[in-house]
Amino acid sequence: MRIGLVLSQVPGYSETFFRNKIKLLFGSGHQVFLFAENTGHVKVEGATVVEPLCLRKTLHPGVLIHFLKALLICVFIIPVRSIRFMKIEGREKISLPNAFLHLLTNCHILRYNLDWLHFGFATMALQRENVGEALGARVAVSFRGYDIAIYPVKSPGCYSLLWRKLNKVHTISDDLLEIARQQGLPLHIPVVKVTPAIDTKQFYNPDRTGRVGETIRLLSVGRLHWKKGYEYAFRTLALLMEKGINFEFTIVGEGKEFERLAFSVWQYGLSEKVHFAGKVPHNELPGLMQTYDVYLQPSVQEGFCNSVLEAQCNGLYCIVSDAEGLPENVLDGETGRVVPKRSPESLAQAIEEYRSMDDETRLTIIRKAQDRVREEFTLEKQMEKFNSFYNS
Amino acid sequence: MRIAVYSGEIPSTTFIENLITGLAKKHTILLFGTRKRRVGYATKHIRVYTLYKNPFLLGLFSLYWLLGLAFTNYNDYIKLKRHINGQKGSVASKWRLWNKYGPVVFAQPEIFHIQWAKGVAEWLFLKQLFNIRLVVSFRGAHMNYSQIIDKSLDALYVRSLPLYDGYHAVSQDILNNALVYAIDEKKARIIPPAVKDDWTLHKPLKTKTSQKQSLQLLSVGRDHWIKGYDVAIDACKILADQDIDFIYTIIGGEGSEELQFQIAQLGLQEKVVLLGALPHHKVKEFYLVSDLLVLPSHAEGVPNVVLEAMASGLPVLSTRCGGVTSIIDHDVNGWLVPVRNPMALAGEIIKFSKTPCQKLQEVASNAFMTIRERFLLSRQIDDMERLYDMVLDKRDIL
Repeated sequence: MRIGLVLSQVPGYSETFFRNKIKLLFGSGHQVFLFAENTGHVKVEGATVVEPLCLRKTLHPGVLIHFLKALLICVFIIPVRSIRFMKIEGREKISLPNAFLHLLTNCHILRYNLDWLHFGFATMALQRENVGEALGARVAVSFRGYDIAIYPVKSPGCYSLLWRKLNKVHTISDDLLEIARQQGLPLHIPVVKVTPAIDTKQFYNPDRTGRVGETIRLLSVGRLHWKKGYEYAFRTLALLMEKGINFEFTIVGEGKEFERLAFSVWQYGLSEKVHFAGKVPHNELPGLMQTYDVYLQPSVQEGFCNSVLEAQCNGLYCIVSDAEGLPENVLDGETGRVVPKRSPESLAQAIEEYRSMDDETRLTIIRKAQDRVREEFTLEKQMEKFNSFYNS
Repeated sequence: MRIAVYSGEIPSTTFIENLITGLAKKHTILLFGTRKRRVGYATKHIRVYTLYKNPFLLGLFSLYWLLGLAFTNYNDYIKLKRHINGQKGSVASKWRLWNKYGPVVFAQPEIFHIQWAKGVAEWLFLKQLFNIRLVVSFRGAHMNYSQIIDKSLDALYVRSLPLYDGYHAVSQDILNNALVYAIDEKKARIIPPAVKDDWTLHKPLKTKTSQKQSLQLLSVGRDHWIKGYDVAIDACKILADQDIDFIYTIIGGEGSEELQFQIAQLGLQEKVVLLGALPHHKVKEFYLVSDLLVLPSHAEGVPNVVLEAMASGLPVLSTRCGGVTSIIDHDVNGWLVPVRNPMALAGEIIKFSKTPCQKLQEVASNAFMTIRERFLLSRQIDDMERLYDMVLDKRDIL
């Protein structure tokens, strides 16, 4: 089968999810086309990378050349398909200039004959809703978090056209699917849930004892962004500090909100206790995780979160918020704790609870989390599910 | 005096514009910067040297200034040329420097007053090469948190700030932050921002809107994390849970993905309204119809919105963020709560909603008097002139 995957950027070497998926599809005899920008010039094993023409930035000569190129492709290489696309757009009451722009910006996809057109994020499907129909391909979309939980808040009803053009949905958590249903995703479209997965062999750490020292060592991994809810964690830590509890908190990751978070830490008087580690290469994470006790994920929005899987596999006691996919990732009371989001008090309570537990209970929970991740969230399992996604 | 008021943009923020028009009554004011939109000044005492965005216009004007400089004052032209050639960077970046520095050297102000502290190092050459006196303002962010987070900025301040001739801080709090950099305290003046005198001609007759209507809460300010709107919205959640009837309007919060998401997630769509930036007279209308101005900021200089609200008879509830503590006495002419504490903020709003009308009027009246006594533009202009006199050694250093 010929499968076209639409992403905004070609996945980097650390983004195992898509790279593994592509590798597997290729291995199963499918032909994969990856429609994405490739600013980092990375190679992807098993896929043909097709870069879009740059049309949307401000006017400058480079854009004009791309514009002309797109026009020539539409008129001379795919004239029939272009007309079909414009007709469909017209039927959907899209204004002529917009339809024309959609045609030019999507001509790199329209050139290929595909059986499946799969949008890696729901937002990638915007203004491309009719491309699948024009190609005669079936259309699939992945729900990943931001695209379903945050983006439509800003643009209500943005997916109404997409819902009518869809043949299949992939969601990474039940909660995201629930939100999509509220936004009008019809019930008749088949949905497959495939959760993210991790390289469990790389992250497994059998040496946990459940013992904890005088100072609790806390860890979070994720880019510095408001949706990760770090400021709620800082407030939590300020509460713990008032109670005289010793801790250290490290955040791995970088992002544009560093100034905001660093000032927050300073204002709470936590500068000595909170450490921004910046970016850490993915292969160094297992080693780093070994030196910590507790993993925090205080997000206000989270699709599923690979880092929480990695942390569980490594034997960190995970305390997460109840944002979207997280309660499916960590089972409250069984494999860690799930607390209400935006609630520093609950988070503080969960940390204190962890502290006062006996070693055995701690170890039981940690072991259970490790077993569950190693059983259910392996790459092999994930790939099995993906393989059948396009076949059934 | 020939004073350059430099903020990098024309026109600048409201309070800087007020300063400019106030000073222009007696002095020649020179403005340099990128043009944001057309602005016409009523007086000839304000000379504007605009950097146009259009490269053709920019080039034309720069050519005029540079030729002017080269013909009238060749020595200075050579000095500037040497200075720019000494900088690192491409030809294009040097051309940008010519555009930026050329008009200043050509116009030869006696005092160059930098409004935002971040630029302090860059302009030192004016003093070293052209003997122009330098004054810097500490207004907010650049002396509140930027220097704490950004170590390179901190190092920059250490090197450059002590070399300045005069310092203007909007509050004692912010001056204390600046004193860390070994600046001469005798050269510093605390001059808070101010409202135009005509705001306080009449005592506002404003009573709390009828008890039956919902409580109207208001915030005004750009969408930036330092404003702490997320904390205020968390507080709104607490209010809503306690069945307090209120509407919270944030002027300037429109378009923020974070706030919009937070409002939707907490189910506050009916309670919290995000509006875009509004012209000054519209904001004034909001002061009149609201019950309480909320300032949930993490850090501030002396925010104009607080002064304006107090002058309009709108009571203010603020966090203890820097300069505000120098204006508001808790429970006397406003209310103060700790920063980053939704619980405390919500608690104080509930308390406010139950405060009897008479007490509210008393607070509003005290607030009004505070402005009339301490925060009038005429006074700010006088103080600023005194600072300039001191910088030019016209008066003995106090």
